[in-house]
Amino acid sequence: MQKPLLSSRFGRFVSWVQVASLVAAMIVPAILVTTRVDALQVEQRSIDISTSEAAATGVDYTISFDVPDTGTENIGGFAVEFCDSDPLPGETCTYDAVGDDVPNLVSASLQGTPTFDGVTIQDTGETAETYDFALASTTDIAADTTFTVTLNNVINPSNSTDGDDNNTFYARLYVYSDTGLTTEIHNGGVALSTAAQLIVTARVQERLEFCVGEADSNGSGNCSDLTGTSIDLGVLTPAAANYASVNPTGDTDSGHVRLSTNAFNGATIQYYATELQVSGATCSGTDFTDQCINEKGTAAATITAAAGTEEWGMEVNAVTDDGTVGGQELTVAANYDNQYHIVTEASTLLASSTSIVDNEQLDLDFGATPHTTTPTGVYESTVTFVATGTF
Amino acid sequence: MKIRYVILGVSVAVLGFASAVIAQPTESSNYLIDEAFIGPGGTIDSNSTNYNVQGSLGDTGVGERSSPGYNLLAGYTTDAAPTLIFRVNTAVIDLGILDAATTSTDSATFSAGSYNAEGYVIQTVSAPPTYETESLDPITTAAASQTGIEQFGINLVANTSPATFGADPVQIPDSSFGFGSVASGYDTANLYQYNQGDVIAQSNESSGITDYTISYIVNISNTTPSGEYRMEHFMVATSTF
Repeated sequence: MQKPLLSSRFGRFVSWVQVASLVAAMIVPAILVTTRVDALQVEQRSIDISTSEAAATGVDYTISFDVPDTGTENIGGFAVEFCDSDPLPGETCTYDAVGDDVPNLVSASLQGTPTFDGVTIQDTGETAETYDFALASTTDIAADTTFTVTLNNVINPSNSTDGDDNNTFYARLYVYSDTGLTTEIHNGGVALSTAAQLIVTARVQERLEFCVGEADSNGSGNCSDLTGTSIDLGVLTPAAANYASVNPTGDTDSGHVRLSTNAFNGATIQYYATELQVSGATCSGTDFTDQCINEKGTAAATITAAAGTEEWGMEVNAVTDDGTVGGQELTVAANYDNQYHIVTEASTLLASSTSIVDNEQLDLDFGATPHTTTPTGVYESTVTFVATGTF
Repeated sequence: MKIRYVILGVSVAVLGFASAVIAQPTESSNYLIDEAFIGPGGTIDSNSTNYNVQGSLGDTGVGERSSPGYNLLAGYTTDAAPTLIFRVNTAVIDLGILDAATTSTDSATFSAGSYNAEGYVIQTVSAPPTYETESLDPITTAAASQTGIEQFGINLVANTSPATFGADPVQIPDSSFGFGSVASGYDTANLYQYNQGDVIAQSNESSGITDYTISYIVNISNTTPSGEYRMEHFMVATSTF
């Protein structure tokens, strides 16, 4: 016959164990919950690097995470540890070499004077793969608080051993309760990566569009508008100067020079004029009796028609900007900027630019007057213009 | 007597379960469980300073797969560690000799993913193609390609204008694993943009691999200075865990 369960001493012992177990089952969880001092994982963890270029120097690492408020708990410092093996705090941190598959922190320094909960974060410096940030004093945060610092002058991993710039590496973040960084209370892991680069190349060819013409149709605003090469000054008399633009014979076309170039370092327009002379004549340069008309050697707004005077010259009376780039790029040489002047038998600067020239046109005019002794004949000069870009 | 032992066993088991309940999920300096699992087999990843345990049951193809072209975390049992995968497939994007009447186009690819994270962002951090002190003008607000004016822009989607090129993001192996998306300004076909520092792609949650294709366009004007323009295009992946 079997005895009742509680009738024996052993049975009562077992029963008490059962009761104690059930009571413990109810109480222990509460005890564990209320007395546990956890190393919590810091949240919102990130490290933002200014470039992913392998081996790049002067890189900024902005480290940020939220430190949890667990009640009465001092915060005394922080550390970041870079590893190639994994981001798991407390695990063995392995890497080929500092600077190889983890960043080189030797030259790194803390940017500015950041604070945490109002307490200055000190630049405690690096030890191989680790950088420490001790607070000036411990603080007990009243709420979850964000820790943010930027490390300047970090050298990105070179990945020289692995030979692959697409390299993931890790950072372990530690929070300490003391400013000596000995008692770890929270932690977390972050993954980062260097990356290969994409090389984008494109070539723009040198370009120079230059044209000269007598007439301008003002149609397209480009070289297709310019036609003709012969500029007629009409019949010269000592009484008054003749100008191509006001030629009484009706041909008032006076010449245009248009330039468009992507020469990055600028461009020049020069001219080379032969003597204004009867074909085959020999010019003295000063006489009024040879079959040549002397140069206008001193720039002036007009061609001087006076007794004892013989001269011809060229002026730039306008610069037309048909480009899309704002502002006028060409600068007319002083002697020709709304002034008549000419130099013959020598290459002479007419206009220049220190940058690209976006479709600009020089509007020219020519003027001449003879001396009373200037021989009759058909006087002609060939003016050659040359544009040179400096690319 | 058997009944007594059964009761005793049940009581001890209850005590054990009660303790287990508060540890799911939990974390301490000695123990961490932060990954939930639903499935026919496998275990979550448990680790501490003293041990690390991973297990799986009837699971094949577990773990991380990678190649120069992709990287994949698969199976019941995956690493609980924060992971960021960012792979730029090295390439030289030669846009050739530019002409004011023609748009030059080309493309390149990169892949990104993050695990046990709150997502990632991909930023483009390089200046536009530059020759000496002259940079090609970037399109600062998404716009169509236009010949005759200087433009440099990119997007990360398939295009039909000015040419059929580029591709939409591809989730690896499919959209139930990868959640990467293209950022605003770079997500509309045939519209291009470039601002140094912009976020061009992102995921707002842990994501498997997403393969992205960058489409580049360049237009020049007649006055774009001559020279060989070069851009070392770096992108930065940042993940928040």
